[in-house]
Amino acid sequence: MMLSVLLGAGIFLACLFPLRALMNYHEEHHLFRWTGYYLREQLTSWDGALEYAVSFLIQFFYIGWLGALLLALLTVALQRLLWWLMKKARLRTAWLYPLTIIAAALLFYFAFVPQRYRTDANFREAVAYDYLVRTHQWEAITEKTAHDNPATEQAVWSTNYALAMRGLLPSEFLNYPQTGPQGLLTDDQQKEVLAYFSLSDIYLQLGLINHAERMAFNAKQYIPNNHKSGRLYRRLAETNIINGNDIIAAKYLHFLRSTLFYGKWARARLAHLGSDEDYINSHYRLLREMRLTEYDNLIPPRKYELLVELVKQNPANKLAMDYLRAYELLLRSLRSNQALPSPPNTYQP
Amino acid sequence: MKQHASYLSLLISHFSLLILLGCTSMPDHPEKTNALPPIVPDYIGVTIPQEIAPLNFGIDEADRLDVTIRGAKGGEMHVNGDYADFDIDEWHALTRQNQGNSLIVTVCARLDGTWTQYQPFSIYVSNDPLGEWGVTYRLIPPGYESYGLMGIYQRDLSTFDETAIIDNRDISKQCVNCHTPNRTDPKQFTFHVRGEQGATVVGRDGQTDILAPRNEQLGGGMVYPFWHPSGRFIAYSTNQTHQNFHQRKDRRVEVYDDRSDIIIYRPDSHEILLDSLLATKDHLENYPVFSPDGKMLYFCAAEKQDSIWKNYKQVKYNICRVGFNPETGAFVGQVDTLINARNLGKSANMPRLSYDGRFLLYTLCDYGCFPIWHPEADLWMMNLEDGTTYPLDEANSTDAESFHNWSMNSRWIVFTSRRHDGLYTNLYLAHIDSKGRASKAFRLPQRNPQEYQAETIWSFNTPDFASAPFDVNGITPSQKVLDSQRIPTTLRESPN
Repeated sequence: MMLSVLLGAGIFLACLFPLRALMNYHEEHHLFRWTGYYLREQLTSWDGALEYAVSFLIQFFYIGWLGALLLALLTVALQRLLWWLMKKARLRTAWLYPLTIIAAALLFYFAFVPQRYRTDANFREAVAYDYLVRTHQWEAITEKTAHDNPATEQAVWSTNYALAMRGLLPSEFLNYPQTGPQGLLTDDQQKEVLAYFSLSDIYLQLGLINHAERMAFNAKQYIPNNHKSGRLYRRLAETNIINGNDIIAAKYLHFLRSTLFYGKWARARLAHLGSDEDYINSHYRLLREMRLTEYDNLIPPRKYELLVELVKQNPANKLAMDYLRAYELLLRSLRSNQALPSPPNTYQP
Repeated sequence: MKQHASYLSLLISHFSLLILLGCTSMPDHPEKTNALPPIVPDYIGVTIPQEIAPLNFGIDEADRLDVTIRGAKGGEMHVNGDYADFDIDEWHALTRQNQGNSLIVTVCARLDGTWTQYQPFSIYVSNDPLGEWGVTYRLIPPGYESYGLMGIYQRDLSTFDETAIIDNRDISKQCVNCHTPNRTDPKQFTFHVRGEQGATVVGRDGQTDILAPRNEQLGGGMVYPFWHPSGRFIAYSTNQTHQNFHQRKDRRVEVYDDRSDIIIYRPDSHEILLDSLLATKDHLENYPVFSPDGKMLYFCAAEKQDSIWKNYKQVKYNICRVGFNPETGAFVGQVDTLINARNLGKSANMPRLSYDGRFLLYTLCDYGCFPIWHPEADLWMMNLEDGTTYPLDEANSTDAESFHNWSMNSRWIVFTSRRHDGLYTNLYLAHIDSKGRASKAFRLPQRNPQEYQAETIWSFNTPDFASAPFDVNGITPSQKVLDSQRIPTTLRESPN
């Protein structure tokens, strides 16, 4: 029994700490909804029924300790079931008990940890940075980068984003690994689907609302097996709220309304949809003011040009200003741009 | 004591009755209003064919509906539930009985515990039958570069049954598009597969050819198709298409061509005929369609613009036509401009002739050739007998109307529209009378339309009618796509 408790404690701690980012990865690639439609849709096949059960469990990963606890309890329950079955099969001897612990731990490992996560260091890094960006752990991001000295582009632009969110981008970003302008705002085409999740966050905060929507939509489509994502549906609702597309926003909000952990947020947004009151107390109003209203260019514009336009339109957009200055530093083109407002005092090239 | 028990019993029974009345699911002396019911979808005053599936509907905010339909020629049906969910057989009995006349619909809705009875409205059952088994369409999420799951589907229009003709999960999630039958006949069809195992698929009376996706001499593949009525030719456009993205809030995506020509494909010899008349260097030719007699080819054409990324708003298509020799597949005579939309500052796309040859239906938008992303895009009609052209106001909305096709009897059209929410494209059907005027369009019926609208992540593309269901029980197109060698096409150029 003591070994079972130790197994549970081990799983709980593993999920809560080294595997916390992986829990987040699973959570944002599944969406369980408490609707008859979803149930009917999933129960059309055995695969769908299994998906239904898996998504039911995964929804609780939204809250780290709860997900970790459920996984720990599930693993211990599996181990106890094995032990009970061995008793039924008259194989119950004391020395076999540890084997059930090992079997349950292995079952947990292979079911919970995807093969790619086990074998691909870059993917593990992407999962880690994605989680830290999603949960706004800015200091943890820079600490991780300083410690690991990572090589992937996602690590670089996540770190720069973390610095920018702390107001430290122009002053400190050269203290961290850089890969040129790509390390500030990368290409819109990404091989790693996970990159779209964080890129959507960055574009949203900069005021590039259409870009944020496009990244979220692309990520939504790339999720395997037609799974949905609460994080992405929330983002699509946000971009449509900001752009004033209330009917589309309502569609995504209705979708989220029937979920356990996004439902409250969605219902609150639905209650105020289309009313100015909502924007007064919301950062959406600020993002609405930041977005591009006049500029429109069908030629895929360089990110530098987009930043210039953002700052031109709204000199108070400090995030865009910081990114622009960092761009200039990286491009070694520090010549003065007459169209731009004066750099902020904090900026010391 | 006994008397007290009796009073108590009476009190309980009265209280129970009050509770029952308060929670009744049937309207009892409802409040009457002069307003029409805000039903979803909006089926008020629409004209339907008698074969159509029940027009189920709901009312947002109402937790219960009580609906009675009375036929002007007789018959009645009544439903009571969360939404109006009509029995298919009863519905068809009523529409058959009332063909050429009206169904009067009386709706009572319970909102916040109070029943309200709205003004009755009519649904007109046309004398013109649909004459088709169903519709085919592609379902795809409306988005940007990525698409994930998609497929080509068929739907029985007299029921709610939908089956996949090809689901891209069966072909490594490649893109499938432009499914086009010949005059609604499912035995003659073509569609494309884009991706590593790309192909153009051409089916003719049981034989399915899996063509190479590109012809190197042509420098591209076949794109928007239309069958010659004889089945001996298929006109395709061949396009260099690009997709770019707006930064402004009110636009998302722009799709445009920087090169397009029209070619004629011969299924019997796998030969592509390229005539310089419709493969000019200074024009973009697109969306070819044959006239019902097979003697004319209609298409749209625009002057090419330099730096199209900058000047994309200057690309304005006219609708043109040229003679066609159904024996040789050659064009005859000179190109004639039928609708000069450019002179109006507009762009005319997607010509489709009614099968009786009297009308030409097209989409008019401000610029370009991909109007589904243009909220201003509307359906327009040209009367080919007197040359008048006019918007189909009764079928249009304030959002985009785009791709469309005719039923074989030329009395019904099916088209795509984004009127519901501005992004997720739905299918609508509308009756066209003998003078080419549309009746109010109605959305493709769904069993539970509110739930469908809330849950669906799909947009409908390239709808067309189907005279019969595609046989999905034999060797499926997906199997053929995966298993077959690609048949190369040969190019024959004929300078005009």
